[in-house]
Amino acid sequence: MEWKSESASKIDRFFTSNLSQLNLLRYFVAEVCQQVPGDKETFTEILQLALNEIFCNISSHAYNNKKDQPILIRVKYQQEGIEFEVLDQGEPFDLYALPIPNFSGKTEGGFGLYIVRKTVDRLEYIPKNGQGTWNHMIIYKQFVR
Amino acid sequence: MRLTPTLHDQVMVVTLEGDHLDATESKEFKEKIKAIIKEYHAKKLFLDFHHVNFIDSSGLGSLLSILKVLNSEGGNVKIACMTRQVRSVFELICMHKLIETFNSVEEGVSSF
Repeated sequence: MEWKSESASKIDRFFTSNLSQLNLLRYFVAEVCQQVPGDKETFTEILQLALNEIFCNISSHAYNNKKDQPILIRVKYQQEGIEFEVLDQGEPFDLYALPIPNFSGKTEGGFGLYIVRKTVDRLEYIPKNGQGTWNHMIIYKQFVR
Repeated sequence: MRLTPTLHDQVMVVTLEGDHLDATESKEFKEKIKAIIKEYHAKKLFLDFHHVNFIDSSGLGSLLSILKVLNSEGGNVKIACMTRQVRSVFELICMHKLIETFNSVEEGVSSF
């Protein structure tokens, strides 16, 4: 089966910020990755984890645990990988000011975005510009050959 | 998530019956394990992960919390039968340096 080219399909999928959507989100990612070339299993596992962490971060921090807020995921198939853009209207944050987590076992959190950063090939964050606009988090993962 | 506790030579072995340990499950999982520790005065805890195909940072956080509770009582937690996804995330945040892991329950239980 031929891999979709860059000009081929893009997918938009809306979620709400309820953590009960996590299962659905991971199914969605698996569906998106169904026909990727190379090591599909590793590629899918990495993206499921990365998207799961981004979703939790938005739900807990950007939306302060509110369960009914919009999260839009935009998928762009590219020649050598897939780009996911995750949009939310919550409180923006400074991605570049996040501390490196403590690995000594003293703290139980702060690993989420570290995991994302370590597992994808590109991570960008564009904070919203005023009321009613969207924060954009963009990740890109190259196929695992 | 349903947990099945069984006692093996003073080691409390708990099998996680769910497929994932994510942000929807981690809080309840942590509370249930702490309740088991309290009820059985368990100091040696062994978690059988063979059903768990997915873990996220929140699930890892719950394991660190359990480790802290047990360490403060002079106890310890070990893990067996991690699937590929669980092992790779575990190693990514260096948890394999804090919690010992084994390929089988039998091997792990005898290590206490």
